[in-house]
Amino acid sequence: MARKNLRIKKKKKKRRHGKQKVCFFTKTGMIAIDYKDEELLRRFVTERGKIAPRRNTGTSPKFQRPLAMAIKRARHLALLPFVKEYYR
Amino acid sequence: MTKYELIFILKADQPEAEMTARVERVRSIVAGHGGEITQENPWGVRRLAYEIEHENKGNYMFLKFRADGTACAELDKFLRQDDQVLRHLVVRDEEWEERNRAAMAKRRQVQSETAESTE
Repeated sequence: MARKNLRIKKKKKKRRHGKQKVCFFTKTGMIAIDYKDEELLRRFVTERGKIAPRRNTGTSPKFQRPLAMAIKRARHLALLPFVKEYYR
Repeated sequence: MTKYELIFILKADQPEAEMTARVERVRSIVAGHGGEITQENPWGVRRLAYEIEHENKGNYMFLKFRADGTACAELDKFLRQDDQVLRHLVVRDEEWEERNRAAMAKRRQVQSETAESTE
């Protein structure tokens, strides 16, 4: 009996679900992410220059990985900033 | 023989002769490993996204070449030891543009076919 009392259920936090986003790359049928395509990559970094999380962009795991790789290569070549200048 | 892409950034204040000299050096290294440069595409002087060695601008050169993998190590060494080269990158050419164009064309074709069948 005592055991039962220990198992008090915690209230689950309710998460608000927004509209399900669709992966940009799946949608357009793109399969390869070019590190030279600066304009495209800029859409997937935050204002500060960080790589945007999947929960914000809706990118599928399959494409988030090569996307991150492409962004890192672009950063190395100074096509993209590591941190935006005015935040430094 | 593998296809590769090579990008390097030369300091912007260097004369154009310095750039051609480096391209020629790359060409001879690649040729030394039984390969050849297939594409030469100078991007010109661009603003850097951040300061490198107190430079705000860089002269970009983009090359595609075919060679044995042994060429990469030598190219890497050459570019690393060069004081005037700010950055460089040698990666396998994955033919991003061509693959994308093919994939997207295929997607459109499939979409138009399904649209027809539902009509």
